[in-house]
Amino acid sequence: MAKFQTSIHEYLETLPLQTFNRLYQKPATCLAIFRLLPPLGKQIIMSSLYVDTPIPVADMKLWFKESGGHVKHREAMQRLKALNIFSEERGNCMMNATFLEQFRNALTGGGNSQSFGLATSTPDKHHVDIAFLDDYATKQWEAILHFMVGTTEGRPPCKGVLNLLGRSGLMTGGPDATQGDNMDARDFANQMARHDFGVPKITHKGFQFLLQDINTQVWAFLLQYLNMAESLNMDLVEVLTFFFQLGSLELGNDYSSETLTPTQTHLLEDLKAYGIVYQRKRGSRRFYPTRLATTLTSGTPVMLGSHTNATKMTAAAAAARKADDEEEDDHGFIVLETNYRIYAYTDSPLQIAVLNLFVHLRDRFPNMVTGVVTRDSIRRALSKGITADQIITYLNAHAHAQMRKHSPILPLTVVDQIRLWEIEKNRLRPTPSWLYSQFSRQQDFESTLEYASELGVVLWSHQKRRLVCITAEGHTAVGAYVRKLISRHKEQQAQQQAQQQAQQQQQQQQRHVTSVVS
Amino acid sequence: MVKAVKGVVVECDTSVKQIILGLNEKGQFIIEDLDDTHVFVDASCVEQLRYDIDEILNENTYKVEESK
Amino acid sequence: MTVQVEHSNRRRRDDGPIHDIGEPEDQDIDEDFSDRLIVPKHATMDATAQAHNFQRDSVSYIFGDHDYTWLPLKQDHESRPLWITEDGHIILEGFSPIAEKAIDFLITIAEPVSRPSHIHEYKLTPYSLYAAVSVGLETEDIIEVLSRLSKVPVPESILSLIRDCTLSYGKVKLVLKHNRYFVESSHPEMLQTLLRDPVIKESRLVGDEDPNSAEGLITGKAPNAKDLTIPGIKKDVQDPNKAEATADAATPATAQGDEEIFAVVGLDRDDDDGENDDVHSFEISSTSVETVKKRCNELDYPMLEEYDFRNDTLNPDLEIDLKPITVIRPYQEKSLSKMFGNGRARSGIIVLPCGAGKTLVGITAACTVKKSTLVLCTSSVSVLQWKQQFLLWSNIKPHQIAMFTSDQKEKFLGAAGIVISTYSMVANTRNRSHDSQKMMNFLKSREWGFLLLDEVHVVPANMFRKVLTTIAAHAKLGLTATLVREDEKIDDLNFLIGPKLYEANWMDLASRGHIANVQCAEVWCPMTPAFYREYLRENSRKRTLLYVMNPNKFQACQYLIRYHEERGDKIIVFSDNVFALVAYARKLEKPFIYGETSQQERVRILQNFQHNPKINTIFLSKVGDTSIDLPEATCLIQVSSHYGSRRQEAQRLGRILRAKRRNDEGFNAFFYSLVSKDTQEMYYSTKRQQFLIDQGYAFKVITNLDGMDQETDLVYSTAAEQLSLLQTVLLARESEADLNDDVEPDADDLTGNTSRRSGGVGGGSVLSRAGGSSIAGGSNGAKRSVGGLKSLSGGDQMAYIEYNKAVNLKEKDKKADHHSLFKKFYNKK
Repeated sequence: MAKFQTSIHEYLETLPLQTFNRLYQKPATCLAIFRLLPPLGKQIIMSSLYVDTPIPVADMKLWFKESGGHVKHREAMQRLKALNIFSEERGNCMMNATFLEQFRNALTGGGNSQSFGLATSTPDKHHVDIAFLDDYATKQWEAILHFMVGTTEGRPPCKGVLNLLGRSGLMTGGPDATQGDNMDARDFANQMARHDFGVPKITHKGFQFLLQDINTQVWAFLLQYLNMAESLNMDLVEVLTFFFQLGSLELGNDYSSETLTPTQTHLLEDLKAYGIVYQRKRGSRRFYPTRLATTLTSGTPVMLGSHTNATKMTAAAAAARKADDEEEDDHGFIVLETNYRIYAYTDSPLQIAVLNLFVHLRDRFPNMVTGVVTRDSIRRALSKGITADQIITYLNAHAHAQMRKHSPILPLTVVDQIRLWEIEKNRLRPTPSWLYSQFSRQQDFESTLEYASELGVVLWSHQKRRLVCITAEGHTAVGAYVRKLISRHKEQQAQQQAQQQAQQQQQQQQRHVTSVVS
Repeated sequence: MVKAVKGVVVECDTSVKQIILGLNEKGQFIIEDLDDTHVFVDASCVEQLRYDIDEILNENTYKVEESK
Repeated sequence: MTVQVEHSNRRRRDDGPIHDIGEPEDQDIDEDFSDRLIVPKHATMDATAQAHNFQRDSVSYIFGDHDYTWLPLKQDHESRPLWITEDGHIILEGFSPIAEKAIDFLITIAEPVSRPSHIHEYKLTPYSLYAAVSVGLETEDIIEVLSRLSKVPVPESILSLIRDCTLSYGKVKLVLKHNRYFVESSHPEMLQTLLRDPVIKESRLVGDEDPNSAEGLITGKAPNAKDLTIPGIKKDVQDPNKAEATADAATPATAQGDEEIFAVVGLDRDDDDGENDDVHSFEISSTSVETVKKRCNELDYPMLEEYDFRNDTLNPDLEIDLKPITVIRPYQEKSLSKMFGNGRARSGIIVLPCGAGKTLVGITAACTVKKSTLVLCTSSVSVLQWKQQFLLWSNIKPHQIAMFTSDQKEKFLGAAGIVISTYSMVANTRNRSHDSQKMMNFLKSREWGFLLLDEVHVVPANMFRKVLTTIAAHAKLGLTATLVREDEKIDDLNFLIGPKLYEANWMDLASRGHIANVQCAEVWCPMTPAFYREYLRENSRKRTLLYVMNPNKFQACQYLIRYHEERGDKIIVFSDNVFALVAYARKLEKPFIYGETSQQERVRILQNFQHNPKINTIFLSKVGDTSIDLPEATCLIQVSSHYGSRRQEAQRLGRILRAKRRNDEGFNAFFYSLVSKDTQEMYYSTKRQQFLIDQGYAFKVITNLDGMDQETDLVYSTAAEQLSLLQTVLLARESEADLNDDVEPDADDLTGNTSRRSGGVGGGSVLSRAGGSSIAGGSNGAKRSVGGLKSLSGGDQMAYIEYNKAVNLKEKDKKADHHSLFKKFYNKK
């Protein structure tokens, strides 16, 4: 659940202070970031919002219970500081002035209200309803996922999407994929879309992506977009502001696209392709956010209908149900039995395609598919880079309500077995390396081993047999060390020889001398 | 004279090690037998080795046949 | 190349014979058998997929023929509990509010495939439909209930399968009434069809037709269960069917439309409603019963056998009833109500897990029929146990119950009585002693009201055949725990004995406390490097010995015994391999029983295990699989087992299902399989578990026994000890690896048992292979003597060990006498 929030926070925390100050100029952004905070963080902000003097740290501590409370407090404050909402100076806590002002505006409706989007003043002649938007969002988003699993039904996604898939490492284009990093994003998109480029292939990362929930997937996409935005010279703040603005819009309303900046207008085009916004046609004066947009910062997982007409659980129905009770278990659709059989209540080709990654599917009914988890089916998934943990997490997250009556939810023996199959695949652990042998002197071996150990490049060693395995990376250094050791040794030998010779000469000379003397 | 040979150090459990030793009798690819759980082999043979071991271990796996 | 050879070896074992009965594979007798057992042609048919035109999508390809999206969901599908595929698979939501009713229905019409916690699977087969019809369900009832329960329309192919299979099945009955045989049916047109057949026409006894019937058939009232009481059922509930009907009515409808669904699920309705139906019949001569039965199978009208025991006046009644204190359990009652549903005794098979009281079901059935009864079981130990059980639960007088084994040749006193014997005693036609022959004449000379067949799954079809033709019995009941056989020949039993009348759900019985809860675990024991090195080098027979004798397995076994003894458990350790059995038991200093253990010794050991608090662990070879009943045992450890036999696994589990302590709060029995990692044993182990896994059992894999590394005094912990163990194993003869060299040497064991005891002669089996070319075509006996001589002279560099000369000789004598069919098998060996 908290997965996607973690990834946004991680991203935001890398931004410099100036960027934050610019971001916080928009009330919508302040509200969005506030909404993404854990409850305690929210509480701290709300408590300090109308305190106009700096709050002593010691005072703030009193807000929390002893034992445990302080730990949580410290964690929450750390996050707030990382987001530059709070700073600590001389024992006092201070809220960022811009954030303070704009967040107050967000709550009271003051200031620049356009940051929450400008609702259109005239009714839309071509008004669309929520059901339409849900359907649209589902189709667009699933088209991308379908493309990834290779079960595309209609046309392949547009260039923008292909581009993002390639750039984010979710798919590779084929032999030239490695060039992707150096390529201009648009070139890459062109390449991806070109026919002769070969069929794009899903990567390990891509398979893992498929097993995540939609919010996490959407954010992963958007964050990738942010990374790309920089290389396209788009203004990061404008992009982020727009994302956060989308999160504050209301589903079913239409908004004016005329107040958007050129960057944001461009952005709108790309987001349409993902199904995050809907616009009747290019350049239209209004746009609609879809559920993918409005749940961006809400923290409630999106339950996209994925045309599950079978269970009549359309996104709208799911939302309605969610309003009734905050139980999120209802959308679980997978029954996993102790005999490794799987029964999945779904009619979504996408969910079926995802299950097909690690289940040997057998029968398909209009509202249910059956299959069995086998060693082969799991090994196939493992070889695609999917981990046992990801499969288990996916099964857990989507377990049917009947399964949730039991604890643990999934049959332990099956979970164990999936892990054992993974372990079994890794019984051979090869590491490219160099084997050093035939040390003629124990002390050479020992000093080499000591040196390599310090570098942390020893894979295996044996004192008595004077053998040591060095990683491929460590070979250059260790090789040089050994050479030096040997040449020093040779030098010493040479010196000794020279000395000996000198001595001998001396002796001879002495002898000579003596003889001469004598 | 110290010698450095390029290859692959393979870490494995004792059973797999025994299988590797058995396979080595047919085609010599072990450069140095290190210990019960390690062996140093020719880099070019690793993929084949992986395949052969898989084959041998597969023999011991019962596949739940599909009752189609 | 070697890989392939081993492969085929393995397959042979999996699909192979049911060794502990020691009979050759069924395949071997098939040619002979098939012309006698005519299986109706529908029995071999299968629902087949047809081509359908429907919108395929991007994932349809994954499912091939198994994409049933063209089957539309019904509007109220959520309140219906099952799906059905075109090939007869039924998938049932076990959590549906009407699941219990649906399960009752499905178990009658389909074979249970898997029954874990949430979703069950069943399969419709011609056999299962045959069984459904035989307990009184009609074609249209089956279709209607199935349609109501299903979320999707029942596919056309299934409809026609049901129609085809039920059209002629079970519609014609062979009824013994007033000691005359009648072919009976409620469909007069079917009888007319049969009478057009010349063979049947000839067998007909004319002269007694009902003058009122235009077709010349006798017309009468259909039978019903009125006034029939199955003993042992609590007195306030007289009629099981009525009891069920009340239960139906009491179940509250949970959703709209449920009532409608329930309405037809009342399964036994037919038996009640049958009261008003007319039945028609014609009489046939008793001498032509066999011919008519065979002919009916050929004509695809297989006859069900029903015994109208209440109207049998010729055979004297047996005074037998359950003791007043004996009360049977609900599932036992249910199974019996299937048998006696219409007031007659239907022949068939009842499947109950080990420990669930099969014996009591058989005894209650005998008490219901109240005619002379013949009980056949697999060993003389079982014979004794059956007698004891009869005396325990029923009021039968001891003089009315007799045993017929190699040691006991008793007859009962009086006009009616019970005889308990073994299959082999009755089937064995040769080499009988005078006493045996006299006894056989006695058995053959009379009509038996009731034939009780124990452990039907282990008995080869040909032996059944022999028994059933020798003994004239009116009603037959087969009892078994598992109908799985690795050779899948079980289906033939349906036509030899009758359809499966009832099959209990293991998990269900466990949750109700009728059988113990069991924790199952597979313990992985890594092979020591030295053992594994040899394992990789050896041929497959010696491999068996190496993975069983793996020192790590020894230690795991020792550790588990110690752990469970400290917990207060009573432990049985099973080893099919006798070499290992003896080695383990001696090393760990525990008593052991195997085929050659004398009767007195057995009794002594078992009594100690039961009563002596110092003897908490015993080692058993496969003699303990079936015939030894030890309710004290609470923990079971397998160190060596019979390859991939799913049945043996189930049977072994059964040894602890009846644990005395099963109803203690939080009691768990333990079932461990010790498996040497990275060996063939892993393959077998997984395969063995499949049946139990489908029953809902879960096997936990233990890769590391907690605390074992802290034990200091485990056996074979030093390299030297391990090496010497390895030497012992390597020096052992290959035949030691055979699992089937341990059977009871009793003469009355099933034929074939003893003849396979090749382990008895030093190196016999190895040599027979080596010397095969020179003595090709020679009789088995000759082969063996060649082996023996060579061994004696040391020609094969093997030690000659004399195990039990007397037995060997006896065996050899027997061999010469074997049926020609068996020879083929021995030559192969």
